[in-house]
Amino acid sequence: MKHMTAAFCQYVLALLAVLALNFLLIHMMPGDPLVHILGEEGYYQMTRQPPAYIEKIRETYQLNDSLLKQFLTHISRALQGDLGWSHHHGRAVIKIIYPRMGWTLLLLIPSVIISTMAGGILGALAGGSPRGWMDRILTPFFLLIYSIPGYCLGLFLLILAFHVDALPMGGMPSVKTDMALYMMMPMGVLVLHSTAYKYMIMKNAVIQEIHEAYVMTARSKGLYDRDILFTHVVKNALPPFITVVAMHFGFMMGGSLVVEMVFSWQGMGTLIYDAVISRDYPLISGSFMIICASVILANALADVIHGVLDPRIRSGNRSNE
Amino acid sequence: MANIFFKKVREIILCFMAAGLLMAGCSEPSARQIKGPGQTLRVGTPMKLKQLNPLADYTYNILAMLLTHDTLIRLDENLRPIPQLARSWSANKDATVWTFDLVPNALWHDGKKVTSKDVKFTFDYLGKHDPAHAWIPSLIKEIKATPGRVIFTLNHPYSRFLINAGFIVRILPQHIWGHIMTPRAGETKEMTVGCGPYLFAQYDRTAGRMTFQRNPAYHGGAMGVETIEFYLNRNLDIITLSLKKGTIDLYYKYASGFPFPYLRGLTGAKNLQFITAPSMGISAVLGFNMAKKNMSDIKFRRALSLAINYRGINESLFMGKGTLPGSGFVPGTFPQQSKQPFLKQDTVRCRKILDDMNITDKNGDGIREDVDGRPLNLMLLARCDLEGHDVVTRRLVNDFKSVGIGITLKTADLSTWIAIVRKKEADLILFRTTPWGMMMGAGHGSGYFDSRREGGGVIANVRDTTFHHLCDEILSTTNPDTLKDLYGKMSDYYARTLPAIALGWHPVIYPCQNSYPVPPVNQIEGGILNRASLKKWGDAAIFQAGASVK
Repeated sequence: MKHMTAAFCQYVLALLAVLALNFLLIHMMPGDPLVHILGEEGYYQMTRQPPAYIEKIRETYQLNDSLLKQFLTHISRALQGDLGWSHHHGRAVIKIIYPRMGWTLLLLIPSVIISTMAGGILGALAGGSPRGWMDRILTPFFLLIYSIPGYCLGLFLLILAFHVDALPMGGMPSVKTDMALYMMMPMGVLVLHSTAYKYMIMKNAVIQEIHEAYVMTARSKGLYDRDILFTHVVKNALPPFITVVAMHFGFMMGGSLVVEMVFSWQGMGTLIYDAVISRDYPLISGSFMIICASVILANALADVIHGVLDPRIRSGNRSNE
Repeated sequence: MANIFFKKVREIILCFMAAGLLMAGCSEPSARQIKGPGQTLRVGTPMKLKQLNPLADYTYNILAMLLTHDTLIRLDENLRPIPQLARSWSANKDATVWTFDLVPNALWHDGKKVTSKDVKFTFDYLGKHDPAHAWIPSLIKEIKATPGRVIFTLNHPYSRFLINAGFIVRILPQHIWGHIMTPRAGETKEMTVGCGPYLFAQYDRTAGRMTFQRNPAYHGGAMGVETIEFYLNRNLDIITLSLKKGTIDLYYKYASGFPFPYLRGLTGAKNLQFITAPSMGISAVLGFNMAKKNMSDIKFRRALSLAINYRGINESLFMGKGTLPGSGFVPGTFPQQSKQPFLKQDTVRCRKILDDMNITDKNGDGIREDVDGRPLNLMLLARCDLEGHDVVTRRLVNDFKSVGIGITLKTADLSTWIAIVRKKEADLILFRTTPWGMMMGAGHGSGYFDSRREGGGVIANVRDTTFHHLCDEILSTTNPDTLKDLYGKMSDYYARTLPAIALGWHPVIYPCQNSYPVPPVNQIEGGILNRASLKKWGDAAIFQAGASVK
């Protein structure tokens, strides 16, 4: 419990740091903060307006207040879900991000689940019998997959889709029933890439465990190797594996942004890319905040799972090791 | 226990594989599906749509011009004005009073009648509420709307009113926009209501798919193609493969043909035809900041123009399909210009000019020093978001270096590029001109150079009163003979003073499924997708219907 409370405090602090960075991003950049809020073209058009109008806009964004007051307002608004207004989209940032985040998570969550299961199981099997046939086939295969950048893998799959008529070439469907079909390729890239990484981690974790004394004891008791692997070894290899899975969530989030670009998937990747190109600062900072919060949340979740799997963590006493 | 677990996993994997095989075997290839008698035109585009607001969103503004909103007049593929919402028009001799007679049967998409009051309202409203139309109150003194007729009285002569106002301003319904006080803030579906030949039907934001339906009550007669589907925000790899596979009919991006580097990917596609036209825009232009030292001297600019390997740029940027550019800047597609010699690389002459200007390599480090003894190092500003400009900058850097001119390269996205140009920091500015951009201001590209103009992509580098006077003269006459003479003088001016040089003249190439008859190319409307082709392709639909029945 003590450990959980400490971890929770750390995550809250991390979230506050993200909020502060987000605030500084706009307010500490050189020049008028209004340029970063309205975008250069919007700002340029605004400068043609009478000074009273510009002053009104400044008041709307509370730019005449002290920096501390602005920061506190920023935090209070962010906590209420108000991430500002995108002049490029003519809508509230949260309303733009909300559906896009949904599409990214639709790709990401199944990818995390499938790749964790596949990487975990295959890695455990390969690690359970080092230099066995599974290790000899899967390790070079996953090394190859992992060494290919995500976007390249995406392009290979696009070519595959060109030749296989059943697969759509990117984009998203109008009819929701077709969603699975459209998800197949971008998700395929994410799953393959992530499985390769998790396979390596699990394999190495299992190899380390397999030489422990308790494994020999289990063998001497007459247990089958597979039973030892899945009932004893994997259980002990899981906590570091889960930590890596959680840490990797952030990388997958970044990777999914590139994959979305390749497949024209209308998630956060294409949204952030457009926001950067058009200098839509409220949208950039809003996306930055949501993505950071998601990664922090994923890590917090991993901590909870870690605690459930490892009683030593739950009790906050690791010295029992 | 572990064995049971393994069996389960194996079963699941086998199920997935079987399902995949079934899907691959049973699905009909979408390219081969007969979608009916060709009623739906499928257009793939990398353009992105952020809001359904023709005033606030660039992409929707283009689609409104193309499909949903009428303007007073239209320009045909040869840049001749043709009737649209105005059936006829006239101007007085000095181009200060313009009269438009409107078609009597135009209706808004919601069924209300289009009146001259709507036209007056549009200009008044945009001038008052939209900063992008700040030119309206400074140009137009008075607008009189009488039944079926609108009369514009201008503050000063303006011969290009037909183009820069008659064509550019999409007429808006007063009964809708009259209630919207901040036209750029947000979107509503009623903002899509126009009086054009297509009705906005649906926008699926998730799928990035936008649909327009033919307007049967269009005053100019219903269009041929019944439905147009835009597949927005598609990357070029997907568009290329989709064209080849036949899942989209054509590519559209305003002011651009199909990018040359991707054309290779379409080579050998038997289902495609390639429609080619000489471009009205220029994909790579090198502008000179004449406020800078050395740059203000025409001899120096001439020397720079002689250092460039135009053939190499043509090979790299246009796959060798372009031609040498003329020193008169404006491509041959524009009428009324005088012929000027082509620009060619001549490094011997270039070196001699620089030597004669006492710009020589005094310390032997390979870079020339100017008359004050400072190394000649020029800042070249380029955009990182333009196709092929990275290759052009590399070539320019090498070409200039070979004659002893050092280059500091600065690449930026559009907004940073604009900011740097406005600060007049760069010596050399690499940019592109669009077909519409070439029509801006007094036309023939003058809008890019006239220092009295402001705008996003202009370099406003010519402060010369001779040039300003020439632009003003063009704007103050409607006499075709006088205009021809003045545009000839403008080409002479460009060739004589070199405010900027085209790095190549080139064709624009539009791939399109070959089941469609060859369409007319209207670059001002964006290429092969234009109102004339939409009419023509209707007949193709009938043809396809016959073919599919067979």
